[in-house]
Amino acid sequence: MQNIEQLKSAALQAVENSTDIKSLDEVRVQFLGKNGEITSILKTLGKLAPEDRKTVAQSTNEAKNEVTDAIEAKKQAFELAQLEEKLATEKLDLTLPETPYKLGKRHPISACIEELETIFARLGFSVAAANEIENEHFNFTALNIPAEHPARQDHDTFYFNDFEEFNGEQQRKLLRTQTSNTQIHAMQAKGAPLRIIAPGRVYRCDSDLTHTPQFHQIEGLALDKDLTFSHLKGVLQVFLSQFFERDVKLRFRPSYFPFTEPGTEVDIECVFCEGKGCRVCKQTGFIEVLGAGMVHENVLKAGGINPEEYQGFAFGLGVERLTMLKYGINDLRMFFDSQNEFMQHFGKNL
Amino acid sequence: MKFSLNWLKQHLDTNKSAQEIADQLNRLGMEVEEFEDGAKALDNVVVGKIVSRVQHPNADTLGVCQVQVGENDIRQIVCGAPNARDGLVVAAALEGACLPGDFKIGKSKLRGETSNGMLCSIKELGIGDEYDCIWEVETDLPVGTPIAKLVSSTDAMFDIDITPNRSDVLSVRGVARDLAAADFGTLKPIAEKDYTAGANQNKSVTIENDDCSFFSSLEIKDVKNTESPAWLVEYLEKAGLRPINAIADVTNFVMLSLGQPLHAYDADKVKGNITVAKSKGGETLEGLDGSTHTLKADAITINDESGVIGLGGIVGGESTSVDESTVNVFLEAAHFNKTTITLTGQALQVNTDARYRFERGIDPLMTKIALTNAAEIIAELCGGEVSKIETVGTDAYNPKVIKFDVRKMQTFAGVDVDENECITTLLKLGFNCTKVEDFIYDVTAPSYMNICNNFADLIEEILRIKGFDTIPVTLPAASLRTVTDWDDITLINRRSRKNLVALGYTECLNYSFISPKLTETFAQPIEKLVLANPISEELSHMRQTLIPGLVESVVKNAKRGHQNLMFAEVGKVFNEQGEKLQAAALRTGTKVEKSWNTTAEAATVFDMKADLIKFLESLDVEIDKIMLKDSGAAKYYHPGRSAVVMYKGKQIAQFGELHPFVAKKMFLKAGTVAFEVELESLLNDRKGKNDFAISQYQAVKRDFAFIVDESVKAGDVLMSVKSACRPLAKSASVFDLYEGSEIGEGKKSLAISVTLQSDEKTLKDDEINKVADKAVKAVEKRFKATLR
Repeated sequence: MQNIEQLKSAALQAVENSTDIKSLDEVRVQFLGKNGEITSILKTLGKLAPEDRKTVAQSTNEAKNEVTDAIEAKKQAFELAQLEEKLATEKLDLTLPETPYKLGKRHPISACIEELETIFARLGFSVAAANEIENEHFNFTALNIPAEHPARQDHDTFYFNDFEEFNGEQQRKLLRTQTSNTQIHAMQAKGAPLRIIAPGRVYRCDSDLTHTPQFHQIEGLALDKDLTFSHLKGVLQVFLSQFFERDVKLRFRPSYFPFTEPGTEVDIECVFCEGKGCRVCKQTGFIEVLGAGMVHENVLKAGGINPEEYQGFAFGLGVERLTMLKYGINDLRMFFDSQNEFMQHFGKNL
Repeated sequence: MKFSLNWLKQHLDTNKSAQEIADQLNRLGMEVEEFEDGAKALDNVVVGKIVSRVQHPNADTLGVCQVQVGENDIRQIVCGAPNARDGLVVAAALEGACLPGDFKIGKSKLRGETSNGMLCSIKELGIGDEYDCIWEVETDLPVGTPIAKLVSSTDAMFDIDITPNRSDVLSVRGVARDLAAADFGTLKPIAEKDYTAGANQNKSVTIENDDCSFFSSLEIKDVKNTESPAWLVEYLEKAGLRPINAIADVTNFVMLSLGQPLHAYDADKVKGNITVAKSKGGETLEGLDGSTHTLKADAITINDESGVIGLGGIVGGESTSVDESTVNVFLEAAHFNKTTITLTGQALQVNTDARYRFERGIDPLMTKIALTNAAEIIAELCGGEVSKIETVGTDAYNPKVIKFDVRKMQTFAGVDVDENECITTLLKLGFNCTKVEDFIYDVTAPSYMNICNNFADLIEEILRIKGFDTIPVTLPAASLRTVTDWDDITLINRRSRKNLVALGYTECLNYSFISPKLTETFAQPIEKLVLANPISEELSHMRQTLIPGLVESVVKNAKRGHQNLMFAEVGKVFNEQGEKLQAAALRTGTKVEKSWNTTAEAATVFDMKADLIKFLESLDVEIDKIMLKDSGAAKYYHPGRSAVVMYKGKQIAQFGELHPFVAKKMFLKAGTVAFEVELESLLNDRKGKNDFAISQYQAVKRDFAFIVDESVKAGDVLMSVKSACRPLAKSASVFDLYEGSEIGEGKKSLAISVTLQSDEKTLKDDEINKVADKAVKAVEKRFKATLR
């Protein structure tokens, strides 16, 4: 017995003393190989007296297992050390630039529209769409702007030499001057109650430093039995505060849009000078951001809604203006010029 | 509309400041676009005393003055005025002052000497014309007193934007009336001269056109027309009008003051009597606006015996105009139908102040007042004898009765206004209110607000006066609508934009209209999609595809040195049938930017195909169900390197290399590749739920190399292999393509790998061989292929 314990200690010591995989393997052969010292004891078990055999066998096997484990552990340690050594030689300079695969950029206008859609979704508005080529009825007449109305002239409308019949009349086709045409289509398609916003392209025959012949608007329309001007204020307050990520101060001024009554223009306290007066707000402390009002009864009728039963509000805002204010973009025309530098700088990430 | 504070004060008795008035105009719905406050220009201008003046060391004409502007406050101010002298009491503008013309005063150095302000002339302060010397102030007030205390006559200028519904404020008096209703002063009465008893008129007036319901006139004999006096010139110039002569100027002045357009004829140039008629079409009029108008039918004409001498409510005629030699004047004030005025004005493209007012609506009861007022001023300025007033037709005002339930303030506006306040406000605005039952009133609008015709108008009026800012802010109750309720087209629009960006494309928004030249390069121009009134020819044709815009975007950027570009757009395109939503992408240059570990390898049509497939997959297209057709792509694609994508029997997309001819014409790099997807063709294609199970059994691969004619399509061979191996084929791919002399002229070798797997069992060798054999036979038979 004493012999086996000594042998085991010697073996473990030898494992411990081995310096590499090769010397470790020599240790393995010396003790556990075919003619190894521990193996040999096991081979001689048969020659022992039966009463000793069991105890010797047990202690020898235990020694064998212990030495085997020690060798395995030592081996793994050597292999790991070897791997570490190898890896140390494989070091890469990861400050080298990455392989230049790139994500693109969202156009600031389309990203802004999505942002607005998300805000309005939280307020229960869904998104509706309508055509960009429209006829006079939906762009004007149904919105309470009859042919001789002075407001029609203020619109700088792009016309086509193309007509379509509607309500028994030849209606001239045009590029919609406002997303408000969606109001009528949505009312006719979905009826009341209704809460929609309609983002999209609109067109006006106007081009200078602060006008482009195409731009984007978002129309909003909410109809129900009990919606009031006060609710309009609430919705706009929440939306503008969320969009500008601060508690914006609003100013409502009486104004006029033929499709609303009463109508209002909405100013926000200047986001650049916080109302103190600066170049952007022309020293007034306020910036006009949108038009709104209670839906005119003639518009409800044109949309097939009974004004005795339903009432509500509508609003329309210019996306370019909001985007410029929020992101500090100062040249409207850059939006439609596809200049790579502009789009990489002001474009939005996914 | 521009007017001055002094003009306003002729009609409004008020002690409000110009700034307060400007703020209130905004609150009342008259947006102040420009505002210049004369009083404000005197801020930081104080009474000062020149303690001493010494000659400026470096400038002969300048003096360096020590000016006392407070008890213990002496400041050095450099001044060039000849009358600056010791002991003089002056107006000193100090740091922070802003004189008229946005002239900001600060600390400065003049030829090396510090100057802490400016000594001002009367003109520099905007209170008079004297400018060649500084103001010698005569006052007992101590130094440091604001100079405003000494000035009684500061004026202010307002320029307000008037919306089309506010015809009632298209005059200075109208503005004054609205301010008075808002308790901003008291409206002064108009002194009306009585012309009911003068001499009879020489000319008679006959109305033969229903569009003129009322015509009033006065004649003024023996006038001496002159230049207008300074006060009148100043009013008109401040209002942005050019003075002409006293008589013409008075008609303009009264129109701006009271809102009623007037016209003065030289009575001696008018032949015979006057008739208001309807044009038949073809008549001509040489207008006071300097152009000759050829009339369409139905315009309102003013005629004498020679024919048309004026267009009622729009423009007078040159032939009867008043000038310096005019002796007898015929003065007109009338009512004309606003729709007819609009249509005539639009047809002739004439914009005048008269038309502007008539088409928005005038106050019928102001007409005679304006006429007599104008006659009185003309007689005052030019002498002459005013005739008896004559009228034809009626100026009676019959207002519509509006039923008004005051509870609507709460249920429609959401604001709690008590009944009394509602009615008081309406009364202040000039409305008549009669209570008919609890909460219900019969309301009629005053003649100047005759366009009010329903309860919402009344609510608007009450809110205007009360102030929109007094309306509480509340949120409506939540609605159950959510994002899932959105239109499919909205969702695919949004996903497309995002997915293109994820694929590396930068999103453009190009113009929806392009040039005819560009249109012709990419499509057949369609007549009905050409704008009748484009901004320019460059932006006149509605785009039929998004590709031209993307091409132009790329070319524009290439000129500035950007070589490798990936641009995309999602937007409407237009054709004979209408408009539809398209997504398009275009790339030029290398697969990836050249870097230390990449080569400058050009992106090919296969890279574009990969982008297209990824894009379609990202929109839930089942890629294994798409088919390519190698013909039928648009003509701007390379005919041999383009294809259309068919899916469930519909064409959903096309892609390819752009045609070399198009590329050359557009100065685009050869090999530019693009795709277009018709998003609307992908709608209503929501993937259903499929059975799903992961096979428990081993998958095996079999590779084949077929030699086929080079015309044989790889996609067809692949499809053939897959279908022969159905249902065991899980996937199949082309892993090698070889063409070369080894396999013979006109041949190619296609190496195909197919993965076989059963959902039910482990495949045995003979089963696998049987399937593989079937695939080989199918390909051999269909494509005359040989196994390599």
